[in-house]
Amino acid sequence: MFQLKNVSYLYNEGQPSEHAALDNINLSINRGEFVAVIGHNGSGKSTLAKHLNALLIPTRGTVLVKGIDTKDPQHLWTIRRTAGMVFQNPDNQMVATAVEEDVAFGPENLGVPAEEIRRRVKTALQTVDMWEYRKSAPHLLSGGQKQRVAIAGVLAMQPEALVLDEPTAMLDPSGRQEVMDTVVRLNRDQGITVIHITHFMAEAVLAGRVVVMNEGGIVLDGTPEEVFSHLDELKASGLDVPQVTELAQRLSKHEIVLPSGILTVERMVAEICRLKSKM
Amino acid sequence: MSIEVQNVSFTYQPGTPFAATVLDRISVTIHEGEFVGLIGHTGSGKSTLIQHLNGLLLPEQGRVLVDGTDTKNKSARRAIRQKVGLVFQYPEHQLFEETVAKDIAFGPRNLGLSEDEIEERVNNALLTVGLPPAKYAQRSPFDLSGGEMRRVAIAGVLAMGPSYLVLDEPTAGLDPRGRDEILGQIAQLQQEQDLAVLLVSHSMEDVARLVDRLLIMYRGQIKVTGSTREVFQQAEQLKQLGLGIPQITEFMRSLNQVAPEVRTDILTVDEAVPEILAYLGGTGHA
Repeated sequence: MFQLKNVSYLYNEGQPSEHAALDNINLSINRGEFVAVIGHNGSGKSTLAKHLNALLIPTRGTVLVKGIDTKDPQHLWTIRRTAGMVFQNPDNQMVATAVEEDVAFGPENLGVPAEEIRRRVKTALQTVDMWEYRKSAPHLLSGGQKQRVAIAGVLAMQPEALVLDEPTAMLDPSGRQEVMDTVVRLNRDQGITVIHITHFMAEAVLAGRVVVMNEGGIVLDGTPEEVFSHLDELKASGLDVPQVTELAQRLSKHEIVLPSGILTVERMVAEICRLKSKM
Repeated sequence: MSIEVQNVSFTYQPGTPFAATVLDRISVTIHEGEFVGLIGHTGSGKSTLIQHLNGLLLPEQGRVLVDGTDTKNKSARRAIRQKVGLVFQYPEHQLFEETVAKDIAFGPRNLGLSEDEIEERVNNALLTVGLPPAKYAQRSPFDLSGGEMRRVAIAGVLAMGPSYLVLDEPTAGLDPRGRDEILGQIAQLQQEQDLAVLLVSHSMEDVARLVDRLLIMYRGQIKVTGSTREVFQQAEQLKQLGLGIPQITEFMRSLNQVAPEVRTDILTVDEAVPEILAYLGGTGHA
């Protein structure tokens, strides 16, 4: 669905302050995948996200969305409709005075007939569990609720992919949980392709694939188990690992051999018990 | 010396249909030099409570004493604000001056200090937050990274020379590296300068490795309080309040179900390593 070929992106090109936010990236994301992109601030992950729906056009290289080059201005709206974006700050994304109007804003702009808009708004709000708040004023909602409305607004455009740029960074733990439950469900039940940018490792663990960025490049790409077994690279990239993953690595230095990529409490308990039973 | 919150209640928009009681008979004492964590859901009253500690909000019932002085005492308000430094969420939004040095100097200048004294305080505050003055003092705060801006904002509060430092989620929105830098500096400051710190946080892992004592707020009340180790032993109660425990503590508790000899009051990976080694080594507790 998304193909990035040798993509570089320079900010302030040609000026003394020029710097490469993306440096020769190659990445291919298939339909139906749930990909988490992690990296510290300034690693290039948001710049990458903005290339997926032609908010940014590569300085060098090519981005293809469903085979269409994002450089082609003729197909801009096809691309934008394919990949809907949700951003970090929920307050910057609300435009209307009632939740249902906010969700209707996108399809209205597409010229969708009124009956169809009503149907889409209802489906989208039901999907994110916000239908009962349809008449509420967005500014009275919690952060997690606002982000779910923002996701509904994107869903009402019927995109094939969701690109979420740190949608949980400004939320409290329960808000983060609400948003992640919604995202996981959309991917699993509706087959929507998800690209989730985050620096919360607990969220990356939920994805099918994790891409780690550092200094504008991709340093690791694999399943969560594979990626989290590279503890030293992750730490060098300024990232966290789950505490049980770190414990497993620390134990390995004492000749306690555990499989790599232990991410959860249940798995760690099982592995420790297995070792104990062999003794 | 201490901040004493005595039986404090507070209602927003009292006497209107929108009246909401956000603090409900709260009593708590913050002692000199201690490191305390404050945890609770959004809406539990944390931010309202901390605004009472330096008199930004005044209790509707009860009272708040800072080193014995009531925050309702108008003539003492300036001294109280100087003693109790409050760092809000996203404090970098409050930066406004042309240079980092001027921004940090703003508070001390209002205290009527000499220029030399002000400069010394600005430099010390910058050093404390890990920003060398020679490199940062004359830069515009708006050219800095998010993490650097936040440290400048914290330096502005430190330059007032507070005895108590209250931080409302100082790491919100920062990446792990930025978070570790700021928390490391706060911990060092607390130890070296004998400053009392109240840290509002959503991260169980962070408070587990940093603070001595925890306050858990729920619907305007302090529901659980005790040493960090004691509080995280009460996993069931925390769960009922919609809160978790650090993953490593959860792991030790789960393992304890099948291996009753392992300790459950583990707070960090550092503590867990020897415990697991002893268990697997079969030598009992080292």
